[in-house]
Amino acid sequence: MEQRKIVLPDSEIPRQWYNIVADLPTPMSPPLHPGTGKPVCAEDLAPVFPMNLIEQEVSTQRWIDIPEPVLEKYLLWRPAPLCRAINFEKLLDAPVKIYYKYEGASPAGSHKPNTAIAQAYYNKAFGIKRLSTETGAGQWGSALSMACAMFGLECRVFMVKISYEQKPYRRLMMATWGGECIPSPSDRTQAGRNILAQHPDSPGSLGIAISEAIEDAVGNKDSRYALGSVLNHVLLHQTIIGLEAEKQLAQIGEYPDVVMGCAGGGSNFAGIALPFVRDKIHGKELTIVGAEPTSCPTLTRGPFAYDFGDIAMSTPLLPMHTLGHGFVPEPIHAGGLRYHGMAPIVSHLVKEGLVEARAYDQIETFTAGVQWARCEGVIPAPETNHVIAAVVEEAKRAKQEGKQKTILFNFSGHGMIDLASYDSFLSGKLTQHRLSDEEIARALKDIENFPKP
Amino acid sequence: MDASDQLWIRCPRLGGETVFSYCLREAGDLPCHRIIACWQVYFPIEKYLKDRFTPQQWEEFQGRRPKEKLSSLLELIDEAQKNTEGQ
Repeated sequence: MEQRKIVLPDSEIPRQWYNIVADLPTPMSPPLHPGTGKPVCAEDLAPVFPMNLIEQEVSTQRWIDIPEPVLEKYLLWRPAPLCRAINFEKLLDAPVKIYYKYEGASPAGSHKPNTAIAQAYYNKAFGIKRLSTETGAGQWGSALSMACAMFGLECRVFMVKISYEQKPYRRLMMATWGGECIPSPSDRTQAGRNILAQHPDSPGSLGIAISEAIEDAVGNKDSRYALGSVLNHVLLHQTIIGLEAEKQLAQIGEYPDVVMGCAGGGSNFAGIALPFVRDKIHGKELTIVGAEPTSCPTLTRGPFAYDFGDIAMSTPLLPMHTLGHGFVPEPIHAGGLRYHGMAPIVSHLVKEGLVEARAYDQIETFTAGVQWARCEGVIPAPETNHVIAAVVEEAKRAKQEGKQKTILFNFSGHGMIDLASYDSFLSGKLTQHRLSDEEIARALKDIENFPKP
Repeated sequence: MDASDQLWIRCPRLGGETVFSYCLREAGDLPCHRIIACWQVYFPIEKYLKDRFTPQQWEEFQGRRPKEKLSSLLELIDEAQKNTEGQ
């Protein structure tokens, strides 16, 4: 019988996080303060982060000890199992071995607690009493609520109002863990009140929620703000994923040819990838892929404007020329990982050619996720579906090339709180194809009189 | 519910499904900065927006480029400090 799970004993949990900044072949440019144009200094960030986390944010030390109280909490579910997806391998019928790090085993169901717990600990150690944050669908807000409960901190989560209304389960998770989940915009902050004065029925946005969370932190000396992705210290905390995976693969004498993760803000991708990027910097040959979302369907991926026009001319089923709109789409940079919300470290690694990006649209990601669920059992979080789509593509590539490959990916979370998303996909509610003239006319008719901006 | 509420998409920023009418007003007076990237595959969104906007509004929309996370955090800290002065 082939081994399905590689489990590390508690005693083997990594005791240090890995900081890639120490090994970058080309140093990153220091971030500049938009107001002064000078490099950002610790004091600039002090109103929102405790100094011990700011030190990690700017650290160039290669290994950073994980404090014992953080390790104690990690041990509730870590080391996370490394699993082999044998059924999925059979389904794909390609010469690949697929291993995945299962982060859905955490109490909050995702990788987010890896940094939430560390951030709660450091804030507590700095004397902070309350953390504020923003959340979209609630994955980060619920993880931070849990972490705050574990360290006796208050937690305030400003949740984008449209998600607050659509996603009751994560706010209930927050409430269960003692977090206060507030629909944003709210009347708790000046930023929220300003929005409500202009747009009383505002559905909120991530930008407004961030403004509220920061104002909530800045306005109270005992409060700070916590961010669940993008920043260096967040990525640092997530490296425990890849460090465990390295040990687990070594146990069975394996090393990956391809390491993959989905990349929204970059934290779960960095978590699995950075320890392997270190190996690549030091001469190992492997491919490291971040899978990101795009609205651009598979057929049109690549040099978008060219492919799009080419395809549109080749088939009457595709709409743009037949619509008579003279529409020329703005080029989409497929697989960039360079947009503003991406972690600077990840963008830097793409620029250096150490990491590559691939993009997958909503339909192919859900299709891959449903395939996965039907043979491996676990229903993936919608974000996780991006990397599963990347695994499917990589397996097809291996088959075409006739090469045996070992793929390692980060299964960043389960989707049991996201079943409404699966309903949208399975019921065909998600927009699945280019719209015909008639469909566009029908869909947009009723918003002709929609308040114009 | 209007017909634009039948146009659903998975929002990469919120991490959930949302309707076109939300994308249109995500930034209050203006649409989400990703609206063209997200919707152009499905219909001529750029033309649609240009038809709705005055030239000034279109220019303002085009000019609202998102900033790097750290830069926007620092700006929000400054703004929050002004908002909380005297509290």
